[in-house]
Amino acid sequence: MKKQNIDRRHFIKISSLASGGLVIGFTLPGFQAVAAPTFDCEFFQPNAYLKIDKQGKVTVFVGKQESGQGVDTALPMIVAEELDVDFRDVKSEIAPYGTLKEGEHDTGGSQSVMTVYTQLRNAGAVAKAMLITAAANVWKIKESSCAADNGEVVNTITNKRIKYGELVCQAALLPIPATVTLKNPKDFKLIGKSEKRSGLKDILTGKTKYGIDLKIEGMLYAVSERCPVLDGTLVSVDDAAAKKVPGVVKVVSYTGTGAPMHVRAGVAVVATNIWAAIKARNLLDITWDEGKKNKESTEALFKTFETKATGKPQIEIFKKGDVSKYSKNEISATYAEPFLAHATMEPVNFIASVKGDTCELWGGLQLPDWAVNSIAGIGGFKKRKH
Amino acid sequence: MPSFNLNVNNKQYTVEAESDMPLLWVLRDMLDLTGTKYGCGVASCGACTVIIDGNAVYACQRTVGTCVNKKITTIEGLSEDGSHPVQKGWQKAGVPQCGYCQPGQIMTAVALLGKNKNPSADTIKSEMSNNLCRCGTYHRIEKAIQYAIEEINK
Ligand code: FES
Ligand code: FES
Repeated sequence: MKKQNIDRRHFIKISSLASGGLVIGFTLPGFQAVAAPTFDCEFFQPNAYLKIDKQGKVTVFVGKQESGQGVDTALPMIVAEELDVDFRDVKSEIAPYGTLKEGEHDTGGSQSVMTVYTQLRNAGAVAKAMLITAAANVWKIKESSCAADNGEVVNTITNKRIKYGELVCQAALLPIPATVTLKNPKDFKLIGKSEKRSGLKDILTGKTKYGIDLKIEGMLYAVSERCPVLDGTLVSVDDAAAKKVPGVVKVVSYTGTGAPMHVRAGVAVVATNIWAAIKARNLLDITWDEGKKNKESTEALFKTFETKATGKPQIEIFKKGDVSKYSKNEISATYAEPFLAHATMEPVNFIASVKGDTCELWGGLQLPDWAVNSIAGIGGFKKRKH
Repeated sequence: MPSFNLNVNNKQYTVEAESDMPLLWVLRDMLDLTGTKYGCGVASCGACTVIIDGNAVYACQRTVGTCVNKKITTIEGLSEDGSHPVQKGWQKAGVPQCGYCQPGQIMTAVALLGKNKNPSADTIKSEMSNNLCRCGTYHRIEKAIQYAIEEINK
């Protein structure tokens, strides 16, 4: 019996997947039949970014928030490119919070593709390399005599082919290669091409679940009236009428926070259904002290920008190529952005479920780490590693 | 609490609700038909558009009491699989970005084409102006409606 070298981290994953506590870590001599893997596995998951099941279906775990910019399509395309699979066999799922590094779940600055591009290519290439090794072992040939093509490994000597799905249990036993070779961009089949948005049909039939569509057993709804001005404070609230609305459970006042969250002071109505909460909020009689910022305006803000920018050294934000070659065509422009709300169509919403000393959170978030860290701080919860 | 008989997507429902509860919340919270979206609650966005007796209506503006014995259609009632001509047009034009406004957009277009199989460009523009899209998919919506018109008149 020949012992297989198994990466420890990988091994734990496989062991926990193998049914019936089957001890694994070696292959049987004379093993040939591809259809009869050495152990039972559900899928092959070499890293946090993808898994492949026995039918060859690929799931790409997307760590960025899909909000119409297309990351649920673009990021899986990058993985599929290096993996060499039919894009119709690829679906995307949200990367469970905590499976990626802190910060990697953040979405912003139009940088999703740019920031994870290499990582995702690597992730796909690693999986492909392991599938190739698995096939080479089956055929007892060198990896260099194997090639990946559209969800299959090809034996370049005999032209025989094995589907990825039939290799996943063998690939799952292999050590994860430390380095892999990425494709030459001239061989790209997916990257740079146009693909139909994933999940389109679900949107068109009303099946897509947005944060606001989630419900959990016994949940209460809170809606809040916020101070119209940042850093303003609550002077008084008369909630007598609001509390009479059937379904209202509680009225809670809270103070605002400064940077970085900039939560404005507010009064929240908690009720058994959202309509009761909305109706009661409209009955709150609130007096605010709007504070010092209620005189601020866009004009004043732009003046501040100008004064602050004058005489300051410039910062280079982006550089590509040799600009001096094109200096004849120099274009200069000044841009200033006012203070604007994102004004998303979906009202900002979030679910927290506190049970004993644990708290579970659901929401569509640009920066989940911020939410988790703030809530952990406020509620005294410990962060659990995934 | 009063109870109301509603016909939604050709199914009969009896719901107990405060009589001033908007249809929107009956659909979303009581009947679990979350395809109809809440955007503003004040007749400004159109995300909540449903069809009542052939007309596009803001569900946030209609109390449940006014919907009894009417035929209510929501996005879930158009087709299971996206095969309604308007949904097909939307698919072909690849309209949605975030998609949040799209059920409302689609319902407005369905109501429009239900009354007029060949609306003029001006009619389309003015009817569709009842629905906002934060992602700015308007140009593709226009295309999608043209595809739907072709399909309906085929
Ligand atoms: S939610 Fe009804 S119009 Fe905006
Ligand atoms: S598609 Fe995002 S609001 Fe219309």
